[in-house]
Amino acid sequence: MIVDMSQKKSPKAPKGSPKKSAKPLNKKPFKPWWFWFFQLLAVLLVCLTVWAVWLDAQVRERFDGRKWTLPAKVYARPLMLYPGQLLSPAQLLAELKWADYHFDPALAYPGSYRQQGQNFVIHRRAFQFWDAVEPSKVLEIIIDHDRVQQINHNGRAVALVRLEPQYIGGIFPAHNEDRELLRLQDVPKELVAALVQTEDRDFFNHVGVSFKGIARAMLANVRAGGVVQGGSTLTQQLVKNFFLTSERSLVRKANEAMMALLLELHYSKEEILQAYLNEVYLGQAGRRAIHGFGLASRFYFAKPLNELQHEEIALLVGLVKGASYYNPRRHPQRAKQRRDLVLDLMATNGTITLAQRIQAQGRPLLVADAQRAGQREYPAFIELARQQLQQDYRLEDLQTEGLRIFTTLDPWAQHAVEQAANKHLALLEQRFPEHRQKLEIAAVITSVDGGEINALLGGRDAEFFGFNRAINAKRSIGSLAKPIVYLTALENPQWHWGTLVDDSPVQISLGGGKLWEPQNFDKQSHGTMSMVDALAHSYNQATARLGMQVGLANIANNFKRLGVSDNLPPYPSITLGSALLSPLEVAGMYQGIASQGFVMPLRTIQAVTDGSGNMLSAYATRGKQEFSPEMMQWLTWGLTQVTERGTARALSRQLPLPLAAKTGTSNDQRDSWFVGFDNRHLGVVWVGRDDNQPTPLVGGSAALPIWQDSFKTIGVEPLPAQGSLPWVRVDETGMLVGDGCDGRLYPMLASRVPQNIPPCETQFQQEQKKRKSWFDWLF
Amino acid sequence: MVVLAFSGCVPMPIQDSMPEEIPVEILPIEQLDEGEHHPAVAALLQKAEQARQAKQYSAAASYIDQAREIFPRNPEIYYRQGWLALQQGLVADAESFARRGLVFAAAGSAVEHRLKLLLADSLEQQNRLMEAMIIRARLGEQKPAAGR
Repeated sequence: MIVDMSQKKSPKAPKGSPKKSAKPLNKKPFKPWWFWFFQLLAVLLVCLTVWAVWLDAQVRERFDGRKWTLPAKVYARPLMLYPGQLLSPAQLLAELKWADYHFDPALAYPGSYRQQGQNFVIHRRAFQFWDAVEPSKVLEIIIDHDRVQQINHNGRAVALVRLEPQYIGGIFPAHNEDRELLRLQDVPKELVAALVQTEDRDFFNHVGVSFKGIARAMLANVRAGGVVQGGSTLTQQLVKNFFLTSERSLVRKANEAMMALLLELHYSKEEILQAYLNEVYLGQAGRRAIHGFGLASRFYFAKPLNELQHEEIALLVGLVKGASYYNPRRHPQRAKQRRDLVLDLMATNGTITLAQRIQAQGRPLLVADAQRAGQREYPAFIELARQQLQQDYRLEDLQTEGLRIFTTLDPWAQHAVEQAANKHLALLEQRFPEHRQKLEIAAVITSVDGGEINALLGGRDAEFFGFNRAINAKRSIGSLAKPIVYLTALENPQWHWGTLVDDSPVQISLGGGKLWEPQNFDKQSHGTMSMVDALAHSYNQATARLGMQVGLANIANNFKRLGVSDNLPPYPSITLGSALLSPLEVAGMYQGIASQGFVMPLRTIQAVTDGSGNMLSAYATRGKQEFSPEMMQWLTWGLTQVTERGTARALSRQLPLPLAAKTGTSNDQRDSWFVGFDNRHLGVVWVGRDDNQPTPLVGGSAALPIWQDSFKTIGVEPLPAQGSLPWVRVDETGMLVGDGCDGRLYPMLASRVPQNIPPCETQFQQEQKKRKSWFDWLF
Repeated sequence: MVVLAFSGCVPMPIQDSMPEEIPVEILPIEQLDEGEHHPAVAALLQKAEQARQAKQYSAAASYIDQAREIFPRNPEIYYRQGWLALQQGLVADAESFARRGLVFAAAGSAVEHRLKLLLADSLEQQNRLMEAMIIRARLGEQKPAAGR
C-alpha cells in the first residue's frame, strides 16, 4: 500500500537529535524499515509490470504476425522433355544431379533415378510450377543420337514432361537469412525427440525457464571448472534468436527469461517447437545463412527432411550446439562425435532401438557437396534478374514475401560457358604469364528466337558477388560494329554483297585540322574487294570508307533500331566500334540480327508466383519486327562468310556447319570479342582486363575458343540455308551478270534482282576484249 | 504488397476477370487447341485452352509461350499468341505476334492468311484503319491454300 505521508503531521523529534535552528523544526517522522521496503517493492512491482507489459507486447506482436521475412526463391528454367528434343544423356545426367537426384536402381523415392545406357528411369518429384502442380511420377526417357526418342509413364507414351527446376539462389535482405518453412507435422518424430532429448529434456514440462535445467548446468559447470553446459531451454534459445542479440549480459538474460515465460503463457508447446525448428541457425553457404531444419536438410544432405536417416537427423540436431564448431565439412571428426552422442541419447530414450543406434553409428559421415549446383548461386544472373524484376516489384517485396521466381537460366548452358571460360583463361595465362590473374571474362548466351537469357557470366569467378562485367563493363566493341555498317549499306539499293569496296589507306577529316587514319590490323592495304570479303576479313580501311559513304547518321540510327539505348554520336570512328557497350548490350544488338529482325528486350524471367504458388505474372517474348526478315537473312549470310573464310574460320575447322559470327578487337587489343549464333542460340564472349591495359589477345584467339567450346557442349544446330533469297551472279567489277558468265554467286534480296540482267558476253567476246587490252598494253 | 503494375519487360497482366471479350468475328479458329500439332505442342495448347475457358488468361498465355519455346518458328503458335492477346485487348501485342508469325508463315498458306487477318484486326483496334484496309484489300485478291 502506498501512503501519502505529506498529509500527516510530523511526530515529535526523537531525543538526542541535534538542534540546528532556533526555529521550530518541521521534522519528518521516522519511517520504519518495512515502510521503505514496501515502498521499494511497490516501485519494483510497477517497473516489473511495465517491463513485462512491454516485453509481452513485443513477444505477441512478433509471434502473432509473420515470423520471418522470406527471400524470393529463384529457380532455373525447368527442363522440358518431349520426343524429338535435342538432349544428350550427359546433359540429362548432369541436370538430374544438379537437381539433387540420387541414383537408386529401385527408384524407391521421388528424387531418384536409374540409368541404363541411354535409357533413364526417373522418379520425378512433385513440384509446384508457376502454372500447375505436377505430382511425382516415374518416367522412362529413351534417348537416341542425342535426341529424346520416347517418354513413357506407366507403360504409356507421354508427349511432354518437365523436371522440376534447379534452385539457383535467392533475393535476400541484408541479413542474408534463408530458410524453408516447415509445419511440425511434417517433421520426423525422431528429429523432434532427438532435439528435445539433446537440448532440453524438460521442454514439455517447464514454463519457459527450467530451474532444474539451470541447477543441472551449474553443477556440470562447477564440476568441469568452466562453462560446459547451458541451462537455457529451447524456449529461451528461441527467444534469444528471435528477439534478442547475442550480447552476454544480465539484462539480456533477464529479458530472455521473462520473454520465455510470456511466450509459454500465450503459445502452445507445439507452436514454440515449430518456430524453433524453423528459426535455429544451422550453417553458412557463402553469404547465405542457413536457418531451420528444412533448408539445412537440403544443404547438408541434398534431400528433404522426411527422407533423412537416423544418423543424418542426429547430425543436424548436433549442429544446434554450434553450427560452425561442428561443421561436418570442415570438422568431420568433431561432427561425427557429436552425431554419435546424439544417437546415444536417442537410443537411451527409446527413440531408436539399440540395433538402429549401432547401425547408424557405424555409418560414415556423408554430406552432400557444398559446391554442387543445387546449392551454389549464380550471382551475375541473379543480379540481372533482380534488376528486371524491380521494374514490376518492390525490392522489399522480393526480399521478404517469399515469392518464387522462375527464370530462363539454362544450367547446362551456364555450365558450358563456365567450363570453357576456366579452361581457356588458364591456357591464355599459361601462354602470357604476364597477364596471370589479370584477364577477365564476361559472356552471355541467349535463345535466338525468344531472347531468353540462358547463361550469364559476370567474371572469371562465377560465384563472386561483385562487379558484374556482363552488365556493367562498358567496353569498346571494335569490329563488332562492322555488321551494322554493312547492314546500313545493304539497306541502300546501291550496295549488295558483291559490290566492290576500296581498302586503300583512308584519311578522314574530323574538323579542326584533325585527321582520322584507321589502319587494318595487319597494317596492310588490300585493294578493292567485294563487300562480303571486307566484312569476312574485317578490314578497317574498307569499312571506314563504306561507312562514310552510307552515312554516319544512318549507321547510328541502325544501332538505335537494334536496341542500343545509348545515343551514339555519329563520329567516323563509330564504323570501327568506338562505341562502348556491355556484353549484354552487344547481345541485345545482335539478337535483332539472329532473330531475323525481331528486336526484343532480353529477359531473365519466365514467371513469378507468391509463396503459395499463385501466379502473379508470366512473361512472354515481346518485341518489334524492326527489320525485314529478308534483310537480316541477307546480313546473316555475310556473317556466315566470317566463319567460312574470314577471321573466324578457325571455328569451321571444329564446327564445320553454317554459323554466323563476328570477331572484334579494340584498339591496342584491350578488348577481345566474339559474337556468334547458330539456329538456336546466340553467344557473346568478351575477354580483357579490368584496368583496360593492352593485351596480346584478339577476338579470334581469345574469345572465339571460349564460344566454340561452350557451343560444342550446349549442342550446335546449323543455320538453315538462305532458301528464301535468290542467288545472282556478280562479276569482278561488282556488276550483276547473267547465268553462264564468269562471276561469283551471291544471295540477293528478291526485290533487288533486276527483271533483265544483261546477257552474258560470250567467251569469244571476252577473249577479244582481253586480247585487245593486252595488245594495247604492249604497244 | 506486391506491385502488379507492368512495364519494362512487358509481362502479361493478370486479367483473370476480363470485363468483356472483344468480338473477333472473322478469326477462323475458336479454340486454342484446334488443328494438328506436334504432340508436345498439342498438349500445351490443350492446357492453354482449358485455362482460357477458365478465364485464366495469364496461364493460357504462359502455356502458349512454352509451346513457342519448343517450336519457336511455328507460325500457328504465334497466331494463337496474337489471337489470345487480341481477346485480352492487348492490341499492340497482337500486332507484334502477327508480324512475327508472318516471318515464318509460308507464302500463300492458310496460316499466313489468318495471320494477316489478325494483323488487320489489331491495326483496326489501334485506329490504323488505312493499314488494315490495305491488308484486307490484298487478302481479298488472294485465296489461301487449303489446309493449315
